[in-house]
Amino acid sequence: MNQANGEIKKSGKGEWSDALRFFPSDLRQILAKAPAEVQSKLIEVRIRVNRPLELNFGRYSSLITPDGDLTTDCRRAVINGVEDLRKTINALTTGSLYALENELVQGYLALPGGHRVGVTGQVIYDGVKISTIRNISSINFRIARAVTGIARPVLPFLWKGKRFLKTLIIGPPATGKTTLLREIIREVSSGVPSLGIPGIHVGLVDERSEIAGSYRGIPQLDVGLRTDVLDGCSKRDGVYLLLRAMNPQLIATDEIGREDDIRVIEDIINAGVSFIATAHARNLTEAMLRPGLQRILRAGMVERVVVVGNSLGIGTVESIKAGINGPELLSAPGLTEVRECSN
Amino acid sequence: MLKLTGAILIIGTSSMIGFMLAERLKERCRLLRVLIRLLNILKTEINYRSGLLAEVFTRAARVVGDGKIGGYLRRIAVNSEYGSDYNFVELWDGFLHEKGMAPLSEEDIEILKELGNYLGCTGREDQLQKIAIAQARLESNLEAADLDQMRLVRLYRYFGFAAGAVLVCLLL
Repeated sequence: MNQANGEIKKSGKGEWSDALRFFPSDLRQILAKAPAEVQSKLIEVRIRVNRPLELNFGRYSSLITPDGDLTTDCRRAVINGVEDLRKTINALTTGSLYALENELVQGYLALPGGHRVGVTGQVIYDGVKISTIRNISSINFRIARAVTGIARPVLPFLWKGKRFLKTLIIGPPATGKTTLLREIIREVSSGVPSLGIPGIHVGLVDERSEIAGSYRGIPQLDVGLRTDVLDGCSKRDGVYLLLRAMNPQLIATDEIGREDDIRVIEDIINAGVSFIATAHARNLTEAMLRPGLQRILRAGMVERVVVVGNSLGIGTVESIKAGINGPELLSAPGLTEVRECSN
Repeated sequence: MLKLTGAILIIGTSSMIGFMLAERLKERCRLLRVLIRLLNILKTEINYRSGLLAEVFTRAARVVGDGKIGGYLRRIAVNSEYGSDYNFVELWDGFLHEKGMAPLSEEDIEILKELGNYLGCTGREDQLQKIAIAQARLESNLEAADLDQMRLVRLYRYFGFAAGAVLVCLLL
């Protein structure tokens, strides 16, 4: 994560050794041989049937040899056969597919420690709904890493007076939107006295267990002292549950942009509650091409648009704008502050 | 004196074989009852708790009410944890071939083996259905085994003694 200001702490080997225990022994042995530096930077392990084992470091990816050396040469790389994939699936699921079927239909598995496994394979439909994914052919093991401090430089722009401004974080996939969201939630929930943020009640609708990394409903990642998490719940249902039961001051959710999401956002705003959400789009122009996002942005429901990218490394905050028509408050490169945020 | 000792040995051995066969019948019935209870536990755990197999078998080991079977189940639980190299079919197969399971008939083992091929690897509804089928088949085997027990336990005991006695008479 690249940020101009603030102390950023990225954890490394602890999460890696925790992640390793989920792999079958032969794969575990190969991955354990990777150099320590590699282990601390790795964000994903991708296993595809009859193709090389790929390690993803965010801005680049590499293959790995049986000796744990990184390579770009497919002939030297570890190739995963059908049996390897079967063993890996067995190790990751403990053979208990019946307990994971709800997660599997959404294409992921949540593991203890907040790690997540994305899967693709043969999709089986039960009428109109996906009933399961069989014959899994690709696995993407995403290592949960706590990255603390990345929200600090952004927070002054998102907090005004005594309230959190309605915020949308946009960026392409794998640019650290969710990590930034998690950090913002953690900071405002626990409070940042130096920025005059007292600590507020945050309601988190974590539809795909990605933000809090919940396992059996219990957050595995730090989302702050005053955050209540609804795990695996749809945005629509989650927002109503939170508004009715938990009296949140801020509602956070991941990946909005569908046509009907505007109603959810409207309901949050009508209840006098602020929100923070993420959306897939390279920049504001691209976001405006998505009908769902366009309606939300045009309606003036968003007070701050944070654009995240990979220009200076994963999670670079490339700009912060005061809504679609407002001025740019922060812009890349180098995160030059162009205007003081008035508190 | 030698003849007497020989006669006692022959009658003793044949009686023991009779007793062992009778005990095996009784043990099969007892094991079938424990296994039916185990399948009930699995159904409840999968239906209501929906825990992973490792958790299901840890709990089953505690409540199944049989120390020996509990030990076997605990071993399955330990080897079904995350990152395990064993698949469940292998573990279940190992369980069915434990020494303590020897009194079960081939048919009992076949029913359980068939169940093992599905345990864990399909959806919840399918799991419950497969367990219920295996349970019904084991219950029917238990009924037959109970009848066998009533019919044959005494017979085996007497027959063991009588066969020894006949053999002694023939040899004398």
